[in-house]
Amino acid sequence: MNILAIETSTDKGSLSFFQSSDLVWEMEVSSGRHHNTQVLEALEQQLTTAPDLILIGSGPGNYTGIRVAISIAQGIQVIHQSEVIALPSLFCALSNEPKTVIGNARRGEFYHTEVSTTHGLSEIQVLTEEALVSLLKKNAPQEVALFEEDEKTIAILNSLTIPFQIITPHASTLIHQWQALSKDIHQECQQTPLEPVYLRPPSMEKSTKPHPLLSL
Amino acid sequence: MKESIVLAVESSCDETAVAILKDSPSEVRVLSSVISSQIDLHAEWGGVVPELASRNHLLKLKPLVDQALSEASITIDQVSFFAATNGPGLASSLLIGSTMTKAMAMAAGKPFLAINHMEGHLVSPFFHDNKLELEPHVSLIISGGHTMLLDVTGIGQYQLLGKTLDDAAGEAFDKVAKMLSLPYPGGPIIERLAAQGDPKRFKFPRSMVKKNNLDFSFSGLKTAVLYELKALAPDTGLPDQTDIPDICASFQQAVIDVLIKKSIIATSLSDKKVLTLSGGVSCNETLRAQMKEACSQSKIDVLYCSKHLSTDNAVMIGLAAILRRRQGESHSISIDINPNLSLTS
Repeated sequence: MNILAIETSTDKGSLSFFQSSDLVWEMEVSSGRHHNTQVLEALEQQLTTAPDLILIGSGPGNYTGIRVAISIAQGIQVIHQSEVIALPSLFCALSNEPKTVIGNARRGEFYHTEVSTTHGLSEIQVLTEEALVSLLKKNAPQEVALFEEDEKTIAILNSLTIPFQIITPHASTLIHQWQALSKDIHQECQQTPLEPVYLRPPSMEKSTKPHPLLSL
Repeated sequence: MKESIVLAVESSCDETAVAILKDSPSEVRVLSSVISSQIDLHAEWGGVVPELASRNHLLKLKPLVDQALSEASITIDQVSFFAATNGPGLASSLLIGSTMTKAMAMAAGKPFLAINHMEGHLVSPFFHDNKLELEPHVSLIISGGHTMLLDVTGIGQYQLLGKTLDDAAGEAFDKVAKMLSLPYPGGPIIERLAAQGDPKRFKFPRSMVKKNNLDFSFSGLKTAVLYELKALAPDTGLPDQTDIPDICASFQQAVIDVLIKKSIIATSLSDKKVLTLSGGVSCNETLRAQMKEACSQSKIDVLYCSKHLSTDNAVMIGLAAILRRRQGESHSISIDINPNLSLTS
């Protein structure tokens, strides 16, 4: 099986192409805003064999980068009928044991979840700093995976003296982890809509004030 | 000229659209045109929410491509080239359509054309009876995001004659509708209420009509409506229901008078004999009727496109792509979207 993976949920993007379990090629791309042109240029050069499966690292992370990857995968899918699957990039933190993963969710909040080979991803909780600290104290994990290097989150973990490992998602890791996941998790991913892992609904506010000039 | 088939995609704002057109020596035929509108989704918020639009483009586009191919009764192998809107528009919306279309072109090893959304509007009036031949003309493009007059010599040969200095005509309709607590989008509802109102009851300003240039301004008109509302209902700014049709009719007439006057001046000053109207606001029946009458008196031929081609759609992107492809044009997949893409730079 030919597998293409595109991981663009962070500024350090990557692409990998595997035939079965053998790496055929991989490339790094940078700059989230320009993943669009960079990934397409890389694929134009490298993609000489139609992929049977395209794995997209769906984050959480840079929405624009992930949407670019999904759009590219769907374009290739129209032409080559490849299967496209959005696999949360958090699976890059997976080892043999269930693992606690945390990361900065922006806007002063943090996310927390557990990943395991057999159960996949538990519900992602978006927490305030206070709530995260409280949860980590209660669960007392032996080690956590910190999804992307982040000063604020590191400070929290250091204050609680919890050992951590920094995880940077990569396309090759996505493929390795996909191959290690159970069939049940494969099926679950196949049924998941192709979109980024959204940590919260879109930020929208209804206009409750009258038009500014009405108050003149 | 060989026969060719284009698959065109539009996603610049809140409509996700795909069209497949066949260009042959004898005719241009629309094989399929499908649109997923997000109007209902955004109506609750009184305007387009970019993040919401982007989330929906991502979910809708691939199924729409499949639907367009199915309705056209062709396979993807039969598509000769691909085209997508490249700007202007919302960056996060443009990115979805442009990226997926470039990926299709790349994977198929076929040409890609990046099309200016406004060029799509500009060429649409020249598509009728399955014929597409662009003539030199003056183009009035009026939509929710743009109001401009252009002198057009040929595809890609445009001279800007005038543009709005503040709100676009469609934006003024939306904002006045909002002041009247009418739903989004404002154009169709204001037109419907205006049909029952007196366009002469309120004396709203015709901005910049005495100025010796072809630029537009609708901001003052919008403010004049607001002051009228305050005069009618000092406490709430919301007039009696019976006054609303007259406000709508008077406001609409003020917009129409300005559009007609400047369009006639622009065409008369040019060496062109044809004036075209396109963009969502050109669906307004009162505008169409009055413009036709004014052009007739000035011996100008006026062209509109059908209403489904006036609002955002992918057929117009396909038409512009066909005209450019006939000249042998194609673009690299390295071309990026440009939310502020201009027609004249």
